[in-house]
Amino acid sequence: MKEEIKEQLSALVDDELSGYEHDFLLRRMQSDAELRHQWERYHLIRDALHNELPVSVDMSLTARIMADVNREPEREHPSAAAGHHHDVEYIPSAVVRLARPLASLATAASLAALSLFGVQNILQHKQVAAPAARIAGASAVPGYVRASGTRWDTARAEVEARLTTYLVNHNEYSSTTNLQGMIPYVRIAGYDVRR
Amino acid sequence: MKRITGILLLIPVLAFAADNGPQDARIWLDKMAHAMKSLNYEGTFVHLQDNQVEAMRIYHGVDEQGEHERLLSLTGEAREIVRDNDVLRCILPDSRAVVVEKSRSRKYIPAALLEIGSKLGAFYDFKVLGMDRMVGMSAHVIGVMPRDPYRYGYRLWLDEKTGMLLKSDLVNEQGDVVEQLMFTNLMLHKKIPVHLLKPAISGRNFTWYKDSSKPETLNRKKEWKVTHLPAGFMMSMHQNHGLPMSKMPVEHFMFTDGLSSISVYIEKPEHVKEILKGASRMGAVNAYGTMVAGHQVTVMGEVPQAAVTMIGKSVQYVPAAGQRKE
Repeated sequence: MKEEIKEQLSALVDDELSGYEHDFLLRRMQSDAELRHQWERYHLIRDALHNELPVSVDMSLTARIMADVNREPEREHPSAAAGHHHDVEYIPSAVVRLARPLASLATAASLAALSLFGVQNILQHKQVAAPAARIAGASAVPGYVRASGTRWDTARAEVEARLTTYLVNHNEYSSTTNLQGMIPYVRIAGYDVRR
Repeated sequence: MKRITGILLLIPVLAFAADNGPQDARIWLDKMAHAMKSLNYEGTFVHLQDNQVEAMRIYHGVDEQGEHERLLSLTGEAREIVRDNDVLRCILPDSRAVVVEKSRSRKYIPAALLEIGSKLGAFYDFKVLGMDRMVGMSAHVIGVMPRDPYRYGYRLWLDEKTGMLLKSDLVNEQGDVVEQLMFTNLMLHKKIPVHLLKPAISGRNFTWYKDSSKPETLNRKKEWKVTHLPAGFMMSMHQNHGLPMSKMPVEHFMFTDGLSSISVYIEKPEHVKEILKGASRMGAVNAYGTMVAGHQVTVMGEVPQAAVTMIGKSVQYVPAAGQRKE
């Protein structure tokens, strides 16, 4: 099933899905905001990898998706939902105040990181041809050599990739309370662009 | 760091303060927060982690419209991140793309917040450590040291005049610095010229992407419980995310003590050959993985290994029958 979805996403990006599959995936996206979100990123990443961003983005497809998005009723606001089911205490405001100026940097960073990490993940995920060369061409200055070493102290690629995916997500959400809000940014940037 | 301890007690500037160390340190941290938000500055900073050094440039300006910030990567790809209040534009020259996103994490600041009180003081020791010179400026050194082995500490160098952050250290449970961030150049201005707060790349021929998705609100049919948390950690978020490597949504808890954050990710692995079992580390970030009730549980945060291990070992699956009212 996982493979199937991957293939379908890939085909959808290329607008090569049959009518039935196309509708199925769109329906699935309608009920799964995060899948939609990921798909948007996949699209961006894939096109970026193929160096085709300015010319080949299928705006009609994107428009169709966006129309679906717009038809969907607004989901419950997450912060409202967060209050329901847990006997937890909330973060004191002074801390938030303290952390907020720094946090913006971190949030910004996660965004950059997501795009860049996305490339890595997709490559591992979809096994695009000649990934190293693609990546080097896509994200590095000439003469720049991408390090092949792992940063997580595990030698297992799949484990590392998963941890990295989690880390990007963690940083995206943790910046609000991080005293060193700049750090997640550079931590992530450094991961991706290390010498 | 050693040179600071030598002058630890020679702080005449603080002698007039009625309160002792913790209060002064907290006042300085407040001042820092205010300075970083309200001042107009440009600077270059480096970040050190393990053997890696990265350099970045920052411009920060405030006007009638609010805050504007521009970050520029000086190493590797020349990415730029421009923030106007909570709207972020991320310019990726390599992809010829501009990604626009509303700052996501701010949505999760709970509305009904309590005042900080003395709570944080129970878990961190706030101290004015002394004076030092940084970026050619006289700086107060503030220590935020954990009282237990479940969180990292911070040392912050703040400009004596403005409270602006000049350098920060993240310190582990052994007292070793695990990450550093340091300005090598910092200038305060009355006003930052508008063009410096705009990206160097117009993005006119780039493809623009706007993030319109909203994270999934949790539709809870089952319940996971984290039964052991280091003292002072509270849940700040609980959601499902779709993540690139996972077919099914990943359940995500986030806990914070106000300064440090720990995430717990729970997912049912399918076609996954290898999962993290036990500890892993990347720089200051520690992770712990385990299997609970057929699900992969991964705990991660910029906290010592002891904290993620404690949490990881305490995660329990509680069937829906025992669920409380939504």
